[in-house]
Amino acid sequence: MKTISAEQEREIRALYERYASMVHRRCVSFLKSEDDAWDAVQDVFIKLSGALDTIQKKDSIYSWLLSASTNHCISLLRKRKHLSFDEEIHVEEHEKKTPQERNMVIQEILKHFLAPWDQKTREVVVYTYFDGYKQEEIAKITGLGESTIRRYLTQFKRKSSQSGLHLEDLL
Amino acid sequence: MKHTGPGKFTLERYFGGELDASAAQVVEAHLDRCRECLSYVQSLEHGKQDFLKTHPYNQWASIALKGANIPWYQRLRAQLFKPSLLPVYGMALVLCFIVPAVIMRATTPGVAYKSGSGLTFVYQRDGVVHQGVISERYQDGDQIQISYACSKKHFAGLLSVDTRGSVSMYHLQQQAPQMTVEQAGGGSILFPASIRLDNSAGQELIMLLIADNPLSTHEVKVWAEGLFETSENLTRMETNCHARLVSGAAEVRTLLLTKR
Repeated sequence: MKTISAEQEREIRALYERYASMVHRRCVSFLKSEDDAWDAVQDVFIKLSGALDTIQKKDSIYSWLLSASTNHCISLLRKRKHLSFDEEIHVEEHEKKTPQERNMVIQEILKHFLAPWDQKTREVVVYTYFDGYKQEEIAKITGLGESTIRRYLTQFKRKSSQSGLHLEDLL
Repeated sequence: MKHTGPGKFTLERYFGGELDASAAQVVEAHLDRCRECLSYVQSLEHGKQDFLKTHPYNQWASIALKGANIPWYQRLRAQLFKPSLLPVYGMALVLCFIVPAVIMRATTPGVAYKSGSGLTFVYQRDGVVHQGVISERYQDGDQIQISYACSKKHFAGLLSVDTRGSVSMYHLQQQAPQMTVEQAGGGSILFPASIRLDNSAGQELIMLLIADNPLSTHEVKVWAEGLFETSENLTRMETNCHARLVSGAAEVRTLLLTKR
């Protein structure tokens, strides 16, 4: 690990105190485990401390953290033991989902259906269906145009429905 | 009614202080009107307080930044001084220092360290002096003169034990309280007293004690007798006297002669 100056450490400290709780909250929702979420936060902020020089000042640090934590959590979920989608989800489609059930569905989607997709598509899907961000907000986070975002979502929904997954019904 | 106003991401950026002044004002104006968004921002604040109590910055920094501010030479030192490397360093120490030191001492003349018996001798028989050889058999009346090397000033004492366990001390003064004589260092030191072999059969174990201070005659006699008692034979006693040296002596050099 390279030597960090006192000034850099102050900057990292300020970023941690400002954003770590939000990153942690998000990771808990993804991973369903306090310990795993804390590990994820540590890793994400370690990456941040190494990438500070490369993140442009005009870019949003929070956007960078969202992207990093999303990809980190998806990567962790993919390493977890494979569970059958059908075994996990017993909620009838017409029933109203509780937040816990909704999150369970999301986790299974992340584990099973996002794996074959590229990083940007995965992020767009997560920000849309998991975070509930608006498309203009997702454009800010990812740097993609809104039309590109819509195209990614359309592709994902089409492919997923061919596999029997209807996101709007489930979410 | 559909919610209008800033989205969740914008509220989070507002909370993180990323919005510029005009964008922040727009959000604040919305928060004054929208209970749902205000509640969300307040939950972020509560979550932040709870999180930082459980996982303060120092906790993360102690894990994540461990080693980051340590100078390169301290990191190198930490890498070099690992317990797992001790056997490697030990082996290197042996190869680089101890082996050459042992070889040097063994080949340097006049050094106190001796291999083998460390004693040479001549013997006089029937008026003729001969060079002493271990393999020869000696007889009643042979007079043995011991010589040895020692690099520094020292005290030397000569004694012998025969197969019956009879201990004899060799000193210029009879009944001397100390059995040693002071000797200067040298490459070929002649012990001032000689050994006259008697007619007892078997072997004679000759021992030269070297010390930094005088040795008591009584203590040496007790030591020699004790050694004889606890040794199966003189051959074993020769081994034992090196292992169980009398108190005060720095070393012992031996000759085991066989008599006819």
